Amino acid sequence: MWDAVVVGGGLAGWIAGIRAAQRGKKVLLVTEGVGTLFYFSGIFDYGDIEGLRHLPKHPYTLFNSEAIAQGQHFVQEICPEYIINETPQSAFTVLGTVRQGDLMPRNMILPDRQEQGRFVLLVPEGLKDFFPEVVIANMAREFPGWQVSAKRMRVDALAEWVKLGKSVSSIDYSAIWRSEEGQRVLAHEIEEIKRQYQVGNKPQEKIVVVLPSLVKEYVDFSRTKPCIEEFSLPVLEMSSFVPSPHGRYFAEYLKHRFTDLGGELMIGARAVSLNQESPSENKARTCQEVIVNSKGKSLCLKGKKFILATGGLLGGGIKVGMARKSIHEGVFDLPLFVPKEWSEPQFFASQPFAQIGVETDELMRPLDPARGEVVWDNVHVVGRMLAHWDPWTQRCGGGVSVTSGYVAAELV
Amino acid sequence: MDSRDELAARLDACQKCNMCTAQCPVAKVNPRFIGPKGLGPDMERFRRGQINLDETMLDDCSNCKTCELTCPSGVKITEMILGARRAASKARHKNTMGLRLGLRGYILGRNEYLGKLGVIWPTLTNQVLKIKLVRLALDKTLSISKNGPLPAYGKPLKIQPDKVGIGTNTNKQVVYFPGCYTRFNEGDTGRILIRLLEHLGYKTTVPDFHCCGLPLEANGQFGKADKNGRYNLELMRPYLEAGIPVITSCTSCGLTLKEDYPKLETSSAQLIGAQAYDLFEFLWQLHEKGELPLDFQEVRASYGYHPPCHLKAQGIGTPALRILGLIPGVKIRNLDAGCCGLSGSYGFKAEKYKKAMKIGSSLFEAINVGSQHGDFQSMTTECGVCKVQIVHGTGIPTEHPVHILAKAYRLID
Amino acid sequence: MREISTQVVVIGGGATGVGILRDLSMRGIPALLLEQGDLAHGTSSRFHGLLHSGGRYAVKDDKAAQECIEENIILKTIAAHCIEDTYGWFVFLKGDDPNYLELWLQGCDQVGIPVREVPLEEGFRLEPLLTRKAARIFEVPDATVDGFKLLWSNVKSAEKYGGTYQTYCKVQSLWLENGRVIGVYAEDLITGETLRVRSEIVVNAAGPWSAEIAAMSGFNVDVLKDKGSLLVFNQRLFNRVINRLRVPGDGDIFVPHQTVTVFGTTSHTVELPDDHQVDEQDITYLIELGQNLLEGIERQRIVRSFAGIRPLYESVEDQDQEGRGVSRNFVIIDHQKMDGVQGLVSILGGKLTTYRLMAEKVSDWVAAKLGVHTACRTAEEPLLNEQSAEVWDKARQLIGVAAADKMMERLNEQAGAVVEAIARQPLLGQFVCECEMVTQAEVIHALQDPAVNSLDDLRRQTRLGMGTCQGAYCSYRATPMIHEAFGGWERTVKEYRLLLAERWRGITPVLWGEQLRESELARALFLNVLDLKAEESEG
Ligand SMILES: Cc1cc2nc3c(=O)[nH]c(=O)nc-3n(C[C@H](O)[C@H](O)[C@H](O)COP(=O)(O)OP(=O)(O)OC[C@H]3O[C@@H](n4cnc5c(N)ncnc54)[C@H](O)[C@@H]3O)c2cc1C
Ligand SMILES: Cc1cc2nc3c(=O)[nH]c(=O)nc-3n(C[C@H](O)[C@H](O)[C@H](O)COP(=O)(O)OP(=O)(O)OC[C@H]3O[C@@H](n4cnc5c(N)ncnc54)[C@H](O)[C@@H]3O)c2cc1C
Ligand code: SF4
Ligand code: SF4
Ligand code: SF4
Repeated sequence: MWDAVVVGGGLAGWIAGIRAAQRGKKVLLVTEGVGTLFYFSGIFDYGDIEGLRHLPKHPYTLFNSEAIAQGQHFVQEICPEYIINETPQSAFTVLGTVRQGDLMPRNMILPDRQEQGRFVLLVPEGLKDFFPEVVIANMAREFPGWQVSAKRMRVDALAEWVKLGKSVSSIDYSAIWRSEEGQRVLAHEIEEIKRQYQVGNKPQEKIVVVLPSLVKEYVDFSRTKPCIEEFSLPVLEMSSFVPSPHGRYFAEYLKHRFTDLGGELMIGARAVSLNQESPSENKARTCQEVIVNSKGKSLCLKGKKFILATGGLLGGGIKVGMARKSIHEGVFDLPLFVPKEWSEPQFFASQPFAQIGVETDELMRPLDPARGEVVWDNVHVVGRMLAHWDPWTQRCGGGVSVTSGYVAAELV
Repeated sequence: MDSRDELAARLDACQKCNMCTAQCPVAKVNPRFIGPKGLGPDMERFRRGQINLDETMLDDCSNCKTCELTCPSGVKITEMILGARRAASKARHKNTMGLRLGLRGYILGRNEYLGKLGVIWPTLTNQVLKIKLVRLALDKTLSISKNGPLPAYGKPLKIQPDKVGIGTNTNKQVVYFPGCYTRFNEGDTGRILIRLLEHLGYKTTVPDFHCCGLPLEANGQFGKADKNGRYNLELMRPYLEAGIPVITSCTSCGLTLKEDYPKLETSSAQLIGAQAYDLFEFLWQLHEKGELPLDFQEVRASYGYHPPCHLKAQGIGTPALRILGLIPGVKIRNLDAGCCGLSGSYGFKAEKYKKAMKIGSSLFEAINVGSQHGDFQSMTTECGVCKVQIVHGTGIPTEHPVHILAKAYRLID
Repeated sequence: MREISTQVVVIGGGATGVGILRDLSMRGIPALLLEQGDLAHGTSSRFHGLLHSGGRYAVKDDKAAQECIEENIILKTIAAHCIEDTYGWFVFLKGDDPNYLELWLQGCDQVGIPVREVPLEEGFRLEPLLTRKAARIFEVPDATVDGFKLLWSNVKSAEKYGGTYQTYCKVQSLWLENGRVIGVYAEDLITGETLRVRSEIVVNAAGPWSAEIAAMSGFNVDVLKDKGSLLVFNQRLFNRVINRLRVPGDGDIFVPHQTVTVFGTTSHTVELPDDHQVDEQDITYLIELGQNLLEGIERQRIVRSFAGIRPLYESVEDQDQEGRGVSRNFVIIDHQKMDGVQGLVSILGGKLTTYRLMAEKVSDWVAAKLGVHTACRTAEEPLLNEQSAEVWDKARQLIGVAAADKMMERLNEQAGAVVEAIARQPLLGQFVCECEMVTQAEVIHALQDPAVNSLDDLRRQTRLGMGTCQGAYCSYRATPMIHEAFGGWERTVKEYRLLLAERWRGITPVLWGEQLRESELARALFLNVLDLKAEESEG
């Protein structure tokens, strides 16, 4: 019997699992795939917390501001490179435009626009889905007072790729930057930049090296050799495109935190249904075990608490059938809030379908929207499974997932 | 849903996000390999579209299943790749290289016979395999890497056919499927496992199984793999029908029994999936029922643990860690630092040796760092081939977790 | 105002218009084609893609069936690169009307459509998804045709013979003098400039817009605008065209196109020539009908829907309310005879399958008027020259077999330059669109064509954005190319928005299942990862 069974290994699920394990609970995390965490750009968006809390039903209305702050501190505790700020900070997107974010790694925070200086964009040869000309033009537009230049570079280990015309994913590049050889190459490039721009006329000019896909913050020194720590110039990292090295390495980092705390991970298994205590009238039911498809057979996973973190539409937790004749939640068959109007004619508008999800009480236990009663006593719903929010127009994807995951873990 | 329909549905699930390719260990080291998204769901649309394809790249997939565990959409990528390999192997034309590789596929695929060869002259083979010239000859004639680790041979595991027949107390009886590696290269592990099960009150039968078929499949010998599967299922049939579990200690055999055997067209195929257990999965089930004795002696040792790819692919988590975690004194750390690189017989192939070593590099690094920090002194992992590769790559002693459990039960020192 | 003169102006860059341009050019008659959008802006890219064998019309309309089988044979020779000779099956289901089956077999026999009965067992083996309710299967020489490729091949061929065309140029009115049409006034939609084109003859080949063109000079032509909706499935469900053998009706044809399958259609009379809105009701209705041929159709992923307008000719005698009852034959209207105005001819009706024949007949008429006696050669001369095996091999080596073959099909004679570019700079062989395997080099090449003025034009040229992701990834991957070609970030953002908006119109009616997930992912990519501004919702 597990203290908690977390279903779904995305951001919300991992946060819940790690926090519960940290609290000394016996936790099992079951997940089919890696979730949308691999898309994560490295920056946590919290959005206009106070504004959103005043909406009638936004998930933030379930939490007090203390819980939200605790979640943020928890992220920082797991990964100390994340800086908590009073005001939102800015970072470069993968196209060199400037985006805001609420919790981001130290390395990503942009310098002051009012200052003057020079950005030197390091352009690794053959980096997939990266467009230096566009980035440079955008950086120059966003930072009018700054000089922007680029320096192309290559890594011997990837010569064969380039020769064949094969691009190299940013994940593979960051793997190189994390290795000794990669660090050496970078240090060398940065030295060259320093020589090139600091000789002669303006030795005092501030030079910032910009690098796509340097993912420095999630290095786990119990599994990785430490290498050169500091470069001779400040290095600014950009946020990433999909599949994102930030997401990829953060996911691995979270996984290791979880298992190092004694959490049990069951990957490649899909939860399909549950067994419950024989239901009595008028009382919220208690879930006894969830049933999971492993290869060849079904397993029954018994738990005291269950945390549903299956990621909504995109994560696979909610399935919408042909012509929307069937819409259902895949594990507990929970009642869902389904908006009447489904979509907006403009693609980039806030889309009603994005609000689909599970309505809950303050303890994030699922409610039946018709009757307003708790359906499962020992189930907590987190992350994108919650109803009434749109992470893309409200810009609070990370915020809701972290907070809900953290709070659910406190309830275990 | 018939199976084509189901596959079609999963093909449709692909969102083109490229996460699988970003995680594929082979794509990381081989620029010519277009990766799981390309070979799986992308090409599958073309295959159905009857568009000409160059399918030679398919053989570069090591079938480690990492892609499938990554996919956020549940796309059955390796099923598509294997299906295409099956189709391509039928249509393969013969050239000289093809012939040589074919012969090599024959030898590596028939681990069993390579194994038997070694058993007949155990010491001779170990000696012979250490001779550089011999390895060079193997490399030149069969493209079996001269540098790659080849498993050593020890005293083979004896067959224990069921003399008594299926007993009355079938719930105290199991069938053990040792797999070629345990049977021919590491008979000890098998013997310890049998003693352990006996200690727990189980009668163990070891029929004269053939190779499970996975290495054959990996080397493109699909017909032979299926034949082995049907043969083994036939041996298991009376036990399966009596509800007796089949225990595996090799994770690749386990995966094959659970994933591939149910697709074979024979009567016991429907039963095997639910009755095949990884040893520790089986023990955990006993523990949950309260039937696993917990009278362990303290074992003061710390281990790094490597979860084999084919264990992860079974979707049962890491039951060995759960069981070993019950033993007082045992400190164990789940490294989970990626594929070891061998994936069956992949890394034995000459053209793949270097790539396999590169694939294994993050695992080796994690092991080296951990052991230097003093986090652990030795490694444990279920898969024999991973073990060979870990020892080859790091020199750190590695054993099957059943050894640790047996120590805790005082069955061995 | 710019003024040009030519001998013939052709209005409309659909199949009919480009067919006419090529035919006239080959006869040595100088002609200019004007098209308000990109080529195939109208029905010719919003159709089912079936190269009819005539089987569908064998019972009701033997004239149409006859034309189809003849043109089918001709096009398979002269336009082989645009056609996949899949063959088609007519599937007779248990319980369908046996009398119709008899009539159909007789009809095919009479017009000379070769029919082979396919044993059921073979049928189910070859098409595993085909319904088990099939009772009999008949094979006919149906095929599939890529309308866009066909149109481009026609204009490229016409150019070689001196023909000219201008896209994004909308005819605003006819230039009339003394009861004669002596040209047209048109607006260049890109520069905003007005253009006056003097000509001896104006050909109105504006498909569903033909009535609007005729109305410019106060004439009336009877075009029935008949809207048909279609669904695009994510994969190739069948390898042959699958027709249901019964009185032609809604939702009874599946057409495989390379990696996807197009299924339809419906029929509603509409008012506007560009009413391309797909109703959700039509979709549920189609899915229900599709179930008859493909059980489990509801589990298949639909990537989008679209609708086109059939420009049917409504003759005075044949006043049937339903679109389908009207003859599929085409007519040529000589406005001198009808309305007493010289210099204008309209061509109405027909099918894409018969575009060449229609063009031939119109060109015969025009040539006669102009006193040109050169005979039509479009039935004999292929649209394309043979491709050099050398280019082909090189392409295969550089970007792989499948990608090379697809590119060669798209680019034909122009592939050489793209292959060279990749050979010089291998990284240009990276894919912008991974599902349709479109390389950076090909996109750069396409952008050099003056006719490509937007990301959406690029889509039609290269098929980027037509695959599974419907533009989510490939429009991002096209960023550096559009940034360079169209100049700057703001324009780039605008192009993303326009392309995704266009795709969205086709997706919203089928917004469920995996395409819903893909849309949610695309929103995340553009709104979050790339940080584009959200739009205010209309509601
Ligand atoms: C492209 C993209 C970019 C993003 N970038 C940012 C960003 O920059 N900043 C930010 O703050 N947020 C970002 N986010 C959003 C943030 O990551 C969200 O919080 C997240 O999408 C929701 O997380 P989740 O854990 O609820 O779900 P998911 O991450 O979707 O996880 C769901 C998990 O459940 C598993 N699962 C589903 N069904 C089952 C089942 N039946 N059994 C077992 N397992 C199951 C899935 O495999 C998956 O692992 C981004 C999201 C996307 C999609
Ligand atoms: C749903 C559907 C399915 C079909 N399926 C098939 C099939 O499977 N097989 C088949 O053979 N046929 C099929 N057809 C019929 C076929 O598509 C049409 O008959 C054919 O495409 C008509 O071509 P067109 O050139 O006459 O018209 P269009 O392609 O519509 O061309 C007319 C052009 O004129 C342009 N234009 C209009 N006004 C102006 C102006 N003022 N200035 C400049 N340009 C102007 C328009 O932009 C347009 O591009 C189908 C039709 C529909 C609607
Ligand atoms: S099975 Fe392993 S090697 Fe093969 S494609 Fe998947 S991840 Fe790559
Ligand atoms: S198979 Fe899965 S991981 Fe790979 S691209 Fe498709 S959806 Fe992404
Ligand atoms: S449209 Fe997008 S997903 Fe589709 S083929 Fe192109 S790049 Fe791939």
